Amino acid sequence: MRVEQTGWMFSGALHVGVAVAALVGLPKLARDMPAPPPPISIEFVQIAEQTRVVAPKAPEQQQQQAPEKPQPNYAAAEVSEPAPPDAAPLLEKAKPVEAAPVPKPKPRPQVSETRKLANRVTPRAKPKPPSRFKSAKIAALIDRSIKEEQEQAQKVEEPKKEAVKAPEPDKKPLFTPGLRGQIATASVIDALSQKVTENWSIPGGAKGIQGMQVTIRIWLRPDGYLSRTPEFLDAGNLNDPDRAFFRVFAESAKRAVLLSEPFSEVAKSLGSDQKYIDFNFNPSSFIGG
Amino acid sequence: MNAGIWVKHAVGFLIVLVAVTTGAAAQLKVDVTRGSVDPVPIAIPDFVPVEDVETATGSLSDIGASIGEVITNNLVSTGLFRAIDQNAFIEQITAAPTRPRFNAWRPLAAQALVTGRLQILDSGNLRVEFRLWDIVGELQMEGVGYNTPASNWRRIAHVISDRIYTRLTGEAGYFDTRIVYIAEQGSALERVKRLAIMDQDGANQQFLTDGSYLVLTPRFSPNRQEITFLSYFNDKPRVYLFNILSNRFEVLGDFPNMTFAPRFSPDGNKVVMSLAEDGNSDVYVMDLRTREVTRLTNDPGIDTSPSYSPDGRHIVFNSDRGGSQQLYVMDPDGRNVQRISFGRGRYATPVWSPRGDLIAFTKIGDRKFRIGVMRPDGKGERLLTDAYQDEGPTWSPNGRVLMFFRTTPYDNAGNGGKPSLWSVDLTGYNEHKVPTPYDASDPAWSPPLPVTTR
Repeated sequence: MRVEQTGWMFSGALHVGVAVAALVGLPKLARDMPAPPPPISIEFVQIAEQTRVVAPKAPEQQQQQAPEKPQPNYAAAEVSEPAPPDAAPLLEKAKPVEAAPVPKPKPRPQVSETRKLANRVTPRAKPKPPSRFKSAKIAALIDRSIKEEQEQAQKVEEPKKEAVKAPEPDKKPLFTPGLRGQIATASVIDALSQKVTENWSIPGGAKGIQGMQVTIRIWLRPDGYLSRTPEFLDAGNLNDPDRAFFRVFAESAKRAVLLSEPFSEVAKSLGSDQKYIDFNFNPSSFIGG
Repeated sequence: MNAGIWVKHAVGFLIVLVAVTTGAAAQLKVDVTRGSVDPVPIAIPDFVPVEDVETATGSLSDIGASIGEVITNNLVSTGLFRAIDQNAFIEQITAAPTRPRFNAWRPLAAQALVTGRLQILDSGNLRVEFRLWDIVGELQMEGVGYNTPASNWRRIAHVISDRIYTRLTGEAGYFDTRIVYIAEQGSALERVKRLAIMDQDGANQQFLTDGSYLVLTPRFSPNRQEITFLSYFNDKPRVYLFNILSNRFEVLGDFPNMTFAPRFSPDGNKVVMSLAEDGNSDVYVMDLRTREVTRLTNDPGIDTSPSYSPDGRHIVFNSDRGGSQQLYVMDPDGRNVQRISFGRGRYATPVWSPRGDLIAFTKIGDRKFRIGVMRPDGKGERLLTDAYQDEGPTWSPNGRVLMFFRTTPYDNAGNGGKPSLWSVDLTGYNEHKVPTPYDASDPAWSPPLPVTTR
């Protein structure tokens, strides 16, 4: 029993150690590009999934509109979501950023008054109206989803400009557009996928290609060109002579990405050169298992 | 208990942590699940001499152009590459060892570029250097130089083709190989059959026998430049060994009865074949060192066309023991026989791929002979050709291409029945005829020729 207990203790201590190490270490690792991009990522992924499932159905729209009381508040859409586990910590992260710098650049009465009620309501409402004004563009007349996209794009750019003056407006509106915006996000992903697909020459016949997959990460400049060389994620040693087939496969995927440059369609909505896109190449369904 | 709670807390904490960190790491993620299988565009300018001099084989610039042409033909013949027209080239490649201007090749949609330079060394030998460039990634993927007598330029072109092919597909090349086949001449009643050999692309044709005796079923050793074939001597079947490099014949043995389809084991030390005794043929194996013959099958049906798997642990053969001609797999000692083919029609001449993943066969059915492949467990059967009569498949050493012979049907005027060599790759789309001076049948593909490297 004793031994068992000490074993448990030891195990517990180790786990806690790992947890602490991860807690202290991981955020640091990600700190270089943490504050603006991480929240965006989450929303993109979730929205894309939801869109695919929900978009064809009408009721979803009604549900979404209902909680939005007088104004289509972006925050509302977020709150109404079933609060995924990672949403809460992110809010916590965002809060300190808001709270600390807000008073400095904008020591206006407005902020201090509203802070008690809800810190997010006013700031979020603020950046929205101007962006809508600006986004009234020609394409929007033709396709409403384009309008949403443009709004989104502008919102990305705006906060950046303001960030120098005042970090007050947070970036959440970027990734919480309405349903049509969600569709737009999905269509951007589809467009990207389509574009790279056209440029990808699959090395057909390579042994074991059915089971191969590789992820390539690219970093974009605002103009849509690559800001640095694309990188393989977890691809291992490509020069291993036993993995010649995989090297050919991975290189073909990289070539497809390079040939697809520039990525102007996303550059608008991504903006900052810190951001990256992951392309996951997996031909199993195409080649046929 | 206390510790247990601690652990629970720690685990719960970890889960939250993982959720947070993975959430934070997620970014815009795009799945690409489709692509094109069109041939990859590749640019192959003529190889450039440093100084254009005359050699016994021709001027250096002519040799350079010929090398480029051979490489182009080799790569295009695979169906995996598309050569870009030389007239479209923007940049003139020179013998200077500099990087190409990638911008000049991008507009041509080239994904790869092959450049080469030639020079005659003080020793009188030819030096051929080539570089393979990734136009999209803007880097050199491969760069090798070879020294050889100038008359050897064609082999060097094949060796370079192999290097390029290997680098771009991950697969061993098969261009520096040869084919033995039966060259046939004369009318149907007075057919002269000679053993012939040629380069894989049809160049360098040579006859190995004079046609005064019958030659059947030549088969290459998987690791030596050696052929086994069947002939008749005093009306008795005889199995011969023939070494291509030394040009030496050796009689493997006289067999009292009908002998068919000799084929080497993967280590080259045994020959497996079928012998007919009292009208019943069975599979036998002969050890080439001890000349000892062992019987592997003992069945009243006809068992023939045995072929080893590349690891030597199985033998595939065909047998009519089940009523019709089907494929069976057994252990190398003849035990554990299992039928693998169950489709409609009959199956003949199974050949195990050197890659080990497929078995090629001739399928007889629907009034046609067709070439097909299946996995060693009998699943995934695919027919690669669809002509009147295709038979006798042989694998390229990398297991990617099959060569076979196709016989044309007889028409009303009595023409037809002419066999010729064809090749087809595993996709089944890239089928083309191999040029031979006479009718040709029963091809056998050699292993890669030896290349001395320092």
